[in-house]
Amino acid sequence: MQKIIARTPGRIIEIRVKEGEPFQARQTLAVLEAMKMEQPVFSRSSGTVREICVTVGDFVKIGQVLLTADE
Amino acid sequence: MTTEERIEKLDRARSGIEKCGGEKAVAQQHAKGKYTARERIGLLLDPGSFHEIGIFARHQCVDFGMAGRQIPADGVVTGYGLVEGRKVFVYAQDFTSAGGSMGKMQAAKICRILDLAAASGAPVIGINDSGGARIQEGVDAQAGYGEIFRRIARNSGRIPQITMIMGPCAGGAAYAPAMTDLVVMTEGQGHMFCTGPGVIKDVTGEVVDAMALGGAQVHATMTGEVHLTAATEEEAFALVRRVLGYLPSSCREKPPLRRCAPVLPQREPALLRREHSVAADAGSGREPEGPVEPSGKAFSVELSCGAVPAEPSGGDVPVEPSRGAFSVERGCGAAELRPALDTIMPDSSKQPYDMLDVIAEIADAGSFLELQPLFADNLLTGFARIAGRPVGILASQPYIMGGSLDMDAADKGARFVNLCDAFNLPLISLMDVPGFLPGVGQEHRGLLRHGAKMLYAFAVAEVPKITVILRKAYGGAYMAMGSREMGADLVLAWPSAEIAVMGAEGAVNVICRKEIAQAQDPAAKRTELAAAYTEKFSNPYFAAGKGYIDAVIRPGETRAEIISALALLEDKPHPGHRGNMPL
Repeated sequence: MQKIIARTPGRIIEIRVKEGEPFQARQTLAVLEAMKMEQPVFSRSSGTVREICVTVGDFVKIGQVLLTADE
Repeated sequence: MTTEERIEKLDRARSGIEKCGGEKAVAQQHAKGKYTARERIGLLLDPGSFHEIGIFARHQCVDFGMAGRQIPADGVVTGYGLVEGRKVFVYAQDFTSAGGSMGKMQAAKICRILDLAAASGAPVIGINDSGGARIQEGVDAQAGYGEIFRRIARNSGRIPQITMIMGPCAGGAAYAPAMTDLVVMTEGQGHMFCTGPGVIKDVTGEVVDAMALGGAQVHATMTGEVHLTAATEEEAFALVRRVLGYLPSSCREKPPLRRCAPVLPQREPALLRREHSVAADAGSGREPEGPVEPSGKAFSVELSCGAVPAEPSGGDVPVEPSRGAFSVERGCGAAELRPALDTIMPDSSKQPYDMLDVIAEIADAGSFLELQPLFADNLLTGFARIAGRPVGILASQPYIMGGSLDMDAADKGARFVNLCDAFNLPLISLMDVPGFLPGVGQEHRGLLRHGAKMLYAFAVAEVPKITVILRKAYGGAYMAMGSREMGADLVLAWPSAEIAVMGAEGAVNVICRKEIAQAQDPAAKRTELAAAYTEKFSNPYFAAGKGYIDAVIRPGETRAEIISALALLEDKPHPGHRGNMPL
């Protein structure tokens, strides 16, 4: 199982996938806003979303797990 | 003994040693998917160019059953040869001979190579595949490492030092690579750590295997210790040969000019291409990928190295460095314009884009070699060629962490700037940085201590420094990425540039606190004031008006302007040696 974490603190402004949905490497899964910038949240490998751990509007800490996925 | 017999004896002795650790050990090495030290040198160097030094070296250890034990070449093959016709020195540990273990004699052989390389001004490539210190030799083995470390440190910045990790590299041995300029590791074979899984288990109880502790994946993504990884040994050697093509043989030289011969029919003139590419690429405005060399290339190369014939294969052709070949008035031919860059910047200042797409347009086609691509990837570093000239590119990556700088990025950037400064590579900084990453964790772990390295490195670097502000240039990170006051020779900005101490909302919260508090609708007031702040600072003209920016350019002109700037700064004097201290 892979954990997709927040690389900076920030606010979740968009979630683009659903649980159980397959995704490609580097596909934008969610968008985090911090430091005047929108950051795409992505994985370096493809997989399937297992669990979405945040909701839009959440403020997340650095290193916080946003999604988990199966390879 | 007749002379003929003596010569035959030499031949026999040499060919005996050249069999490395013997058939069985060589078969085991091959079974692991690894080449022997001698095969590796064959893959690295131009065919037939290797000259061996110290083949008859023998250890003098007599303790613990070592008396009379023969270790071919004392477990390391050393010598010199050519890479694309340029002189290099090489040492390759021979795992098939006593596990490539390090003893006094092996160390002496490696030191001999390091000394010769320094004296003759040529790079050293070290190929590591060793079980570690030869424990039977005791302090002699440790002393050997010390001798090597001292030389690597003192040669640092004088000659390029590249290390390849193609097997075990543990304990003291692992500090040698860590002090060199660049480390290349083979995936699934190389591993490197200070204390191994056994010691870790004894001391902390943690259970980990060698690969999970210090394999290519770990060093490429977590530690940043490895600059490049390769799936196969062949690929690793191809990478090292490529890296050498960007570097001078020593700090006394300039990096080699190259031309990229046209490999495809020439493109249509750049100015006509825009409509096509936009239409073809669904509005993204990006050029289709491909090793296309624009016609302007031939033009710039004619000037710099007219004597060298084009190579029909499309490969790079090494060219002797020449000075004064570029002329400033040559300016930027239309062929060096890159209209695709005019559409790369999103309208919204918050939206990211991939800086690699920008670099692909600015650099000669296919010439960008990214270093540490998976470590601190919010900051990109790598070698490239621009109109045939090797340069170092330092670039924000807005796609990752908004392009903000954290501790790892600062270390990565600082060390890269030092590397470029040591080896006369002009620095191109592509800036789109929202700031240093805020957070208690970063602050308490020493963000200032790390960030300071980057500021220091940029300020003292004496190579030509060209900065392009693409968009954000906020706070201290604006200086760290190379502002005019920090010593950039030329600062260019795109029309999308925003240069300010901090973001608009944060700024008005501080400077207009009372005004906002007293307003009937504080939120609306804040938005209004922020808009005014943005209006004033979210453009390059305020800074240009104060002389902090030399020119505001169309994005599509960036490559052409950099080519001109490189020509302008070609003869900028460099005071000489600069060590490349590990950071």
